[in-house]
Amino acid sequence: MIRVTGLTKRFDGATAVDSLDFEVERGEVLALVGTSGCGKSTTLRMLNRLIEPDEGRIEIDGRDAREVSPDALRRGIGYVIQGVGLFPHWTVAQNIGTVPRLLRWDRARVRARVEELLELFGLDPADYADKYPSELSGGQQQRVGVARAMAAEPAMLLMDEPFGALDPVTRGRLQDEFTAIRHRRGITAILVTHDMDEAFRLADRIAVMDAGKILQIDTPERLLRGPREGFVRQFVGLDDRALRILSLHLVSELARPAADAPAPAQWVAPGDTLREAASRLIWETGDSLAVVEDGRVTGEVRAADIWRIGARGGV
Amino acid sequence: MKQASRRAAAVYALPALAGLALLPFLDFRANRIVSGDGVMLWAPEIGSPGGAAALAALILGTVVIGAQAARFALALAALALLLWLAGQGGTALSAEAPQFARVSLGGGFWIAAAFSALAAADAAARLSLGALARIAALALPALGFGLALRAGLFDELSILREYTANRDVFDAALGGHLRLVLGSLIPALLIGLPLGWLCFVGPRARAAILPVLNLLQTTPSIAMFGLLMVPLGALSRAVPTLRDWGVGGIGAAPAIVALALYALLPIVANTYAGLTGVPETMRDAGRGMGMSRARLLARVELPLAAPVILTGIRIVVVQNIGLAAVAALIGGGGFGTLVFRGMGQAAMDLVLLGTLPIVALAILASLMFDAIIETTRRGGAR
Repeated sequence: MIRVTGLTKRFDGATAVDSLDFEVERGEVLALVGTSGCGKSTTLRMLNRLIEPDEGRIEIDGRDAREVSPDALRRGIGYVIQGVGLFPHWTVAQNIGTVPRLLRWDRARVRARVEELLELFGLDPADYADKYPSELSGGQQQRVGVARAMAAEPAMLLMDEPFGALDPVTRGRLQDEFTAIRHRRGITAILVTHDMDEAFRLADRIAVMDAGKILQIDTPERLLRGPREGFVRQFVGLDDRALRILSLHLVSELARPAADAPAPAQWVAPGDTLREAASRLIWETGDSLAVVEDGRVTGEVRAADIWRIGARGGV
Repeated sequence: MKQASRRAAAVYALPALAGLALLPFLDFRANRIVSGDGVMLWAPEIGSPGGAAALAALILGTVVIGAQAARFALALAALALLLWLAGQGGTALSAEAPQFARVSLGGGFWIAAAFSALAAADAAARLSLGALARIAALALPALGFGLALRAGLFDELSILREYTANRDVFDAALGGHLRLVLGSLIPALLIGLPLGWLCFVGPRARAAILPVLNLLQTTPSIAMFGLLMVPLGALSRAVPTLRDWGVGGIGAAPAIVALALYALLPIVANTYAGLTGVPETMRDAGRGMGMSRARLLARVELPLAAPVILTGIRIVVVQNIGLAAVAALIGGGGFGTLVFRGMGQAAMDLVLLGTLPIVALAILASLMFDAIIETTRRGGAR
């Protein structure tokens, strides 16, 4: 668990980060969002003391970060830097093994961990371990960058625009992979992004920052339903908030029982989002859809229920 | 592309042919100092019309044939034939001549040899061979030349006669030259690399160091030797131990000091440039993962800066191989000894005997460094 209190940083008299307070629970992902220069990257870099705070306190698992030497602190925190930052003169395996080697793991353990992580990220160790970063695609480099940060099983990950430089399709695929790995492994992370959609997809809670301050910190749904006046409202974007709220919910939450039958032409899976179900209902001009698992109908989802979720004050 | 390479080939072939046609291939002289009578390529003692025609055909072939590998081979073959004709001609001309007569290489030979070598280099560059392939491509001809030298093909040429007469001086000069170059390189590295790093970490250090080194670099070498004579002479008088080690106002010590001083600027400037060129994200990644500053320098910054730093060392080595010749003026030894002795005796072949090994050493050093630099660039750090 990370607890930050009164975190402040000034550059040449100008306050870049102004007295931040927040907590991140074990297994939680917090997104810091805001425009360029709002202080989100500075905040992230203070957490592993790449920038020393002027005031305030950072506690990691109850321990003051200042009590640990910066190098030891950083070896216990995974860091995914903006623009990947793989070492071009090292192979993929050497890159991923950076922190384990700093921690003096023995060779066999490093090797085993590298192979485990490559498999976790869908890269065959036999093909990729000995490649150099220049031989990888952008998406593969990004995967290796995240794997490198996770190598020494850190208590938390700091991610600075981790999927920033990718095309939208690759970025979406990596975001899904990250979510899947999170659910399998349980990752605690603080993510910096200027992309609100990325924050909605990856984070449990979102902190909207402007001019060095956190204006609002809330779950995605509460942020969409009750954004504060001013910058938050503008930055979150309210034009399609009903659809965004629907994309935070799954069909399985609303599925009602239905008679067993073979799958009809149009259907949804329990793991699809309500946004996908809504889109299909609009297209079919229907008022209910079959929920199908393994080719058999297991339930139905009704349009009226979906609209209620997306409505003002909906549950 | 093909047109351009053919035009380039013509630029090398035409001067080579003109040189052979207009200038003597060998010079026959009554003794080593007087000027001699030119002997043209097609004289019966040298090529006779047949040999001359074969040589001309090889040189023209580099223009007519389009494939670069074939051009490279033809240019090397032309060089080999040039050398063989010179060796043969030397032997034939000396056969019925008195003992003191000398046969020197003439203007025609030098021009044709120089332009054939340029043609070969041009073809090799167009093949865009890697550094190791270039070394391999030159090893065979170099081996052939060495064998011909050993077999005595050139023994009757004046330059080899000078070698025979000055063999011990030559061997001492080779050892002395290498000692000057390596002896100055090692202290220059020990001082220059840390200074380059200082320039990189501290703008104030940079503002102090680089102007001083620039000033040193622009001091003429003879003036530098002169300036060093006074303090080093005083030092050896004051500290007898140093004098026992051979440190003094003249000799190898001031030469090594001067060469090391000249080596500093390229090493410092390239170390600074190499470290500056390492992207900030690399430092951020290394520090962010918990590398100490020293480890970051050793494992990330220096390896990534290595091609640029090695380029600086390559400049220094090639530059000092040339500059070391001047060291002979203050008794520093090296091939300069032969050059200055030859100038004193007006014996141009002795000057050449000192000069050609310097050129060969410089070419060898730059080929070697190219290969090393190429291997440090692997792994996508291009």
